[in-house]
Amino acid sequence: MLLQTIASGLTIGCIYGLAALGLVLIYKTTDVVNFAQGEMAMLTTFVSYILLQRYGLPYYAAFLLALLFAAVLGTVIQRFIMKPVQRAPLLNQLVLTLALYMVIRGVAGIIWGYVPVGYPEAISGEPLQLGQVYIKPNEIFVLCVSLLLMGVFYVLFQYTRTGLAMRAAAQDMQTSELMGIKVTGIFTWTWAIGAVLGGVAGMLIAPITFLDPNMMQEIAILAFAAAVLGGFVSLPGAVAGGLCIGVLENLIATYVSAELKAPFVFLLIVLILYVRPNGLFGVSQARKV
Amino acid sequence: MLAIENLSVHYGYVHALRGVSLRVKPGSIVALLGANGAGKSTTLRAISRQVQPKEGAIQFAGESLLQQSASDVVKKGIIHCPENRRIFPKFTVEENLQIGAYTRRDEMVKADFEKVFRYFPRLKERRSQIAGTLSGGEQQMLAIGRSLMAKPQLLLLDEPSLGLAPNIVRDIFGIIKQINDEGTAILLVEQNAHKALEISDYAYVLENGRIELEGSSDQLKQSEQIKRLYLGG
Repeated sequence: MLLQTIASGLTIGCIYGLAALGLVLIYKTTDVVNFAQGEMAMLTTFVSYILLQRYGLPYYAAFLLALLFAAVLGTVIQRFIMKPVQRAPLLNQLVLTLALYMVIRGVAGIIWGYVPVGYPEAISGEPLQLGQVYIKPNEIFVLCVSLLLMGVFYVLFQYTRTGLAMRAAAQDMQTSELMGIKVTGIFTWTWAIGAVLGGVAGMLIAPITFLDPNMMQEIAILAFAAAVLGGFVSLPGAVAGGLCIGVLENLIATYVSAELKAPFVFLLIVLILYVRPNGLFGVSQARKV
Repeated sequence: MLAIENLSVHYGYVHALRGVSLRVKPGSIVALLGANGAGKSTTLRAISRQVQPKEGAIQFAGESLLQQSASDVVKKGIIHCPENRRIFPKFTVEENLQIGAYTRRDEMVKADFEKVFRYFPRLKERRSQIAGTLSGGEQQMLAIGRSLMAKPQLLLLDEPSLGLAPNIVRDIFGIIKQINDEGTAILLVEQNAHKALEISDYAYVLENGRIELEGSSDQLKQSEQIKRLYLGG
């Protein structure tokens, strides 16, 4: 029972981790916390649903096309909405992402209404038994996709020229420009990748939450919590934070009460931050002047 | 090679530069001297397209730089090594050098790593160390090495001696001279006028955003005004 609870928690934790990764990436590189992250993911999920249902595309084609849409969405938002205010105070930029959050949700509500609809799993089938643990094929799919994405992402970030430039821009924008890096281009990349990561999270969670304009509400908050728990600037921290929250949430729902899982998760986060104010993987912000 | 005509830069209502003109000839070291806030760094920032001048012209190899982006200027071979070194503190020494070569896609990048390590053997020993943990002198070496990775034709050096011990300043100036001997022109911004006049061919003195004095470095060393203001007697 315990193992089962942890295993299911890890699966959902992967999804939180992906969503948190998108948030942290954008924050780390551009200093902006993207409050519209969850709504961008919801929009992407709706696009995949339309491709699946109306155009009858197979799951994988719809999945990939929707991610292409997410990348374009991220690019357009960065180019036409965030870039013009790039030099504005950060707080103003945050408010702009909040506005985006409301606009996307409102528009989605007008187009698709607020009645939740079912969203198909990638793979259906009977659970497989591994020792004492039952895993559904779809959960294996979620795990594989998450791990694959994290791996691809790690390689991109750590070993490619663009990744190097992204990491440089995250440290020092001005000096990055002196290296010949086109910082605006890097920001666009960052938003595109952030939107793709969020979009994957949306499509993976939709079979559980059902699809409607509010579907990402709770997930987005938990992704924020995962990011904070991981230190908000650490990419591995975001993943670890997501996994922790997924497992904790499942343990509390199983052994305490399903209704109390969210308050308990946040209580635990408060306790962890009490002991480690900068999160599990965070570094203190002491800076040499 | 580099020709600046009548350059004016404003930060809001503050006039940082008022009609500055200067030239850097191929293969030379030109020093730009002056007190804090005289406009030395602003001049470099205008060349590397970090600030947009209000008036004036900046030409490099006969082409205007004013319509170009910061990234284009780097590709043309003008590399700005900024004040306070501004190395990437979370990168290793090697990653800092790699990012210096960001705009290059030629095969010679590997060979240039070795070249930088020949100038600064200490960096080779510490190639996998996190740059933020280096000493001030090592960080300055890394900042210069990072600039060299871009294969500069013209190197803009901002206060390379800032906050360093005298023996390290001597080493660094020796290497600047060596870099110049191998063909790179240098525009050197310095508060340490004595050191700067020693290695430069020509010098300009900025005061309140204007060129107050210019001449060959040998001449300026003899100038009474310079002696009084910058060389301490």
